[in-house]
Amino acid sequence: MRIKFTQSELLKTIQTIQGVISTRTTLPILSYFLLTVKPGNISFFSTDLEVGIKCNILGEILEEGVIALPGKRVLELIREFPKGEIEISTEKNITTIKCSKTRVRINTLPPDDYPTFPEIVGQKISIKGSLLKSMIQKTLLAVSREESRYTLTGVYLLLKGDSIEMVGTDGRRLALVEETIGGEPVKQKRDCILPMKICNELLRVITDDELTLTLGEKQANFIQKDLSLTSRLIEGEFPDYNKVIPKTFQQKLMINRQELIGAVTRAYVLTKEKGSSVKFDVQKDSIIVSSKVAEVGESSEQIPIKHGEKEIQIAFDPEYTIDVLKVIDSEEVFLGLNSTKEAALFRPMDNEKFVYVLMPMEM
Amino acid sequence: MGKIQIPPEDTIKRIAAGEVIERPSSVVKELIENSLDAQAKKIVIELEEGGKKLIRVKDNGEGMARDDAELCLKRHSTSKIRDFNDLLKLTTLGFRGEALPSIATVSQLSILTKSKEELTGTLVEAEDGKIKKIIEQASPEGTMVTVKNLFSHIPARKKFLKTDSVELRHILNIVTREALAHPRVFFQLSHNGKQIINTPHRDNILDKIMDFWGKDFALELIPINANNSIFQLEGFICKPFFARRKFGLQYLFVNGRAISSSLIAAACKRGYQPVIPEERHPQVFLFFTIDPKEIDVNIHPSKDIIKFPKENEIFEAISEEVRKCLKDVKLLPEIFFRKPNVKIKTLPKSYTSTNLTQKDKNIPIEFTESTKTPVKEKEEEYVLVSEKLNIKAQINNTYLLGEDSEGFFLLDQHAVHERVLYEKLKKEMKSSSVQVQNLLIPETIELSKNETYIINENLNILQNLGFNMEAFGQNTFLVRSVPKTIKKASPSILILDIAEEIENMEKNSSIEECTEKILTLVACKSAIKAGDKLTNEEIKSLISQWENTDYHNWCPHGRPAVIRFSWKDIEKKFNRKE
Repeated sequence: MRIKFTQSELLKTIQTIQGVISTRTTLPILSYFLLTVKPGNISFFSTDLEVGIKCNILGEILEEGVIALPGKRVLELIREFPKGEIEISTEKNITTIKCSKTRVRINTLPPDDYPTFPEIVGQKISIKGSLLKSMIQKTLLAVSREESRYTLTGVYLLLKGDSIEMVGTDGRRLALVEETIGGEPVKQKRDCILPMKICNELLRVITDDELTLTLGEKQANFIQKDLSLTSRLIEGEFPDYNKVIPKTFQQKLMINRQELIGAVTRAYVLTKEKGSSVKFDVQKDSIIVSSKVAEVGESSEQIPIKHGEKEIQIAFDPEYTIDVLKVIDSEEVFLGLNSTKEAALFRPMDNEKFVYVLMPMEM
Repeated sequence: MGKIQIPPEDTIKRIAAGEVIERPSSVVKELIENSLDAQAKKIVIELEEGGKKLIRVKDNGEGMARDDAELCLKRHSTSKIRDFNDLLKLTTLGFRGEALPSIATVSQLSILTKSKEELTGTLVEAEDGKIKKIIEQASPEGTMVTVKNLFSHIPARKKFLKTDSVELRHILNIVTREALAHPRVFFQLSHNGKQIINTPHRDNILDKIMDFWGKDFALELIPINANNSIFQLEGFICKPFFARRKFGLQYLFVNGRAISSSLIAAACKRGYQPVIPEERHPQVFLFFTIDPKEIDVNIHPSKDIIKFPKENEIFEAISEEVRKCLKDVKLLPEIFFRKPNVKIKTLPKSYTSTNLTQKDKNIPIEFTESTKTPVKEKEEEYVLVSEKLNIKAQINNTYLLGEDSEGFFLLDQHAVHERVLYEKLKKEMKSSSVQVQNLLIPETIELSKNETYIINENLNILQNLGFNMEAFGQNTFLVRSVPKTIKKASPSILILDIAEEIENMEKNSSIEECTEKILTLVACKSAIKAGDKLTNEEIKSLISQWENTDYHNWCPHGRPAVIRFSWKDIEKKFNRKE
């Protein structure tokens, strides 16, 4: 095998696929990536058995071949190479990386043991990369880190007609976002749970351009130009989230997002160590955000609101509150409340398609 | 003829002897106590074959005059009490007058003794409880008792003796306790010609402990001192991670008498409860001074069981003292200290037998006056290290590495966080201010019949801790809220674990014990795990919380949270300094 690339192109490609290259040594082959050179196609592929990333790259093909290269070592080397043309050639299990006067020879492994990139067939949709990323960002924050509730450790994705819905929850809060997709409406309802890992990789590597999503039986595939990502899906049933989203409210508030996030963040400074709640004291025309922590101190801040009707007191986990206020992208926030004990709903004032349901803490 | 008969004299003697003399160690104990009562300063013990073949106890005490030597083999002959009143204010170790006659009944016994007043000594030889020979013989001042072929005439008893090494262990245990009770006495013990114990006159208990357990162990002990209306207490308790699975490492002394007491053992255990696991037992050395009028020693011939007055109060007081003492140790496990100079506690002079034989024995003894310990020199006590902890790095995603001027240390992040959460939850529970997060999607938990029963029993505790649970069908619970701390742990698995742990606990465990268990579990499951990467912010916040936590050197299971390495030791290892 013998091929030529530019240093910048090669570095970019390896950086793209390195997210799933293992650094642990339980299965040594997984700390390698696969370089395949076929007529007219050079591809880099890495996988941790859950997520696989394949990236095609342009280069000058002098001789075909397949080889597994140590991921971390090659990345570090290429990063230190001078800009310009790099030639990679392999003889038996020795790979030579050349660049003008520099020459590095590294040991490699035969490619036979490397996992293969699966073919995925199933429901196909096309969606903007920017839209997918924003949906992931909004829902991933609520996903459970608790490994025992397995189905909650991923983002739920539902395709129905011309809409796509994504949901994340950890049993204490829930984020739901709904969008319309262009192209053919989906005939049959189809859903799946995407593991956190693929969501993070998508956020890291895809661009804002159009991409194709294929939902297979047990796997999903995302293709964007030269880039292809595959992930295993989480098996199991996602809870019926529609039941827990409040539809009517005793009290509907409109609050300035910047002011609210500032107030909660300041209260959080005091509550951080003891893990105490932040209290929302809703009055006729204002809301008082306060915290009181024994042996630490207390804070209180008044923020004007619109539409105040009934007085309600409710307490939230400040971290959970800040999480949602960070991803809401409108100036005003809608806050729907029912009682001290019932779930509250946050959303952008002008957008009902993103909702964040938060269960209060005991006062 | 009626069935009930009075057995012959020697049978009665043998029955009674069996009660006092169970095994070689009981002989050793009786003889040592006699020596101590005779004001001996040095006691030399020789053994052969675990004491089965030979026990010889030689002392340099007061010795006996010829007449006494003859009389001492008569049952209930004693120099220590004259009438019943004396029995109520016993301060000598022996008093029943059973020891020597009993030993004589079951062995070949010889006594060589000489008192100060007499010019020559006396040799008394006895076998089967009968005196065979009394002659005049040269002897140094003191008494030497030789016991040969123990139980050779009582095959039934002999059969029950264990191997030499087991019998030897029993003897060593007795001698250890007696030596600790009398640190100023020189003890030597040899077995089959090989010296095993050699502990000279010591002015301080800690040195004596060092003679037996070594310097490393002794220097890790925590001194304990207490004074209340019932007792005065001095001594040492071990750090929690020295607690052993083995029971019986509690060295307890009351008025200089080595005793065993399940009451005090349980009280100590209770005091250690926040820092050691259920199945472990602390090693303690406790020296009590209690008014002799208040206690009853005459419960059992072996005299190592004592009846205490006001048992409940004593239990509470001791466990509280231990707890306080552990809490006060706000220092890292490896501590820098000079030897605390705790004064030894032996029988106050005013209690010796001579005093009691005086005519005015009805005058109450001024107990508190005579036993008052001298004021300790302050600068000889602990030197505490209280410096800001400076954390340098997280290593292996498990330990935090820090340094101060004395050395560096490793903190176990899980243990540290566990302790923080435990104390926090405990405090919050007490003031019913636990931070509770309601669940958006309630969790259902299915339990077995037995587990359902256990959870129902403890529903109140769980409720106070923030687990809002309701029955949902026969063996199913619905969890509606959880304590906020358990962000990463699964409530249902936690409840299952709690049920299982409580099921494994002893039956009839108190509410406090169950609560402790539950708190420990919740803290453990919610804490940072080994392998979790921490940010600098997280480390800082964790350490600042931890420093202000009680018992912060140990996790709630009693594992250490910190290990210290002093620059001194490290320099030594690198051969930088001599």
